[in-house]
Amino acid sequence: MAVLLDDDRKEVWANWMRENNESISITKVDLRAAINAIDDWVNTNAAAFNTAIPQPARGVLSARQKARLLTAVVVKRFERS
Amino acid sequence: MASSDTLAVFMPQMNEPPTASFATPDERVDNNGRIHPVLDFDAAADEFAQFSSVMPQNYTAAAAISVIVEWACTSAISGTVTWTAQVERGNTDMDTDSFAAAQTADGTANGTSGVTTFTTISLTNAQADSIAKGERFRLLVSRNQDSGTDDIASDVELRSVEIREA
Repeated sequence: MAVLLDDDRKEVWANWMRENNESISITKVDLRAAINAIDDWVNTNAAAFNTAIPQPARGVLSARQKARLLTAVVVKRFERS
Repeated sequence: MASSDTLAVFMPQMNEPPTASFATPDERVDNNGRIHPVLDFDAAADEFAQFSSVMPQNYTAAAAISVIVEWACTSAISGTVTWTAQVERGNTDMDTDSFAAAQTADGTANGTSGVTTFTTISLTNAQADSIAKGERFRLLVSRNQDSGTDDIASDVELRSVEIREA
């Protein structure tokens, strides 16, 4: 899977700025650079992520299901109170 | 009217939002559950708020005005926002937009996101569409988020607008 289209990255950027409710002290440009870098990192490490999933889940789950699984784990790790 | 005297005050509930690209009504809730009504202006799209009033009879003919925007950030604690103001005299066809050209001013965010900043946009009488006493007018306020200077990575929240004679 390729990196996100520029419009998609912009949408992520705009939505994040709307929804973030914790203090932030970087600029819009700096935030956009972070989003670009994260998307690049996800693209670079997609194969390694897939390999880390044990069978039979690796072979049975769709790419979208695996992505949602990753999202759920990451959100849980950082949203725990 | 003397210099610095108030000509009009607008609060968020007085907004007459355009049909598209409007600033979003929101509220900031204090620690006791009491609200501050605000209008949210997006960081990635130009949005607008509009207010109407009648220029007081004691407005000095052809005087310059100051549009003072009171604002805070939803989450940012640094950076710069670009505000714009446009005035339209109420002496033209209501079916046709005839706002004068936008005038701008930059404001710096407070280090605490809930503390407001006052940013003054200066308009000559000509830039204020040559408004005269007793005339109805519309004031269009927007955040020029792609000004090149505006770099705040969050919504900014308009809390009030005051027009003073300069």
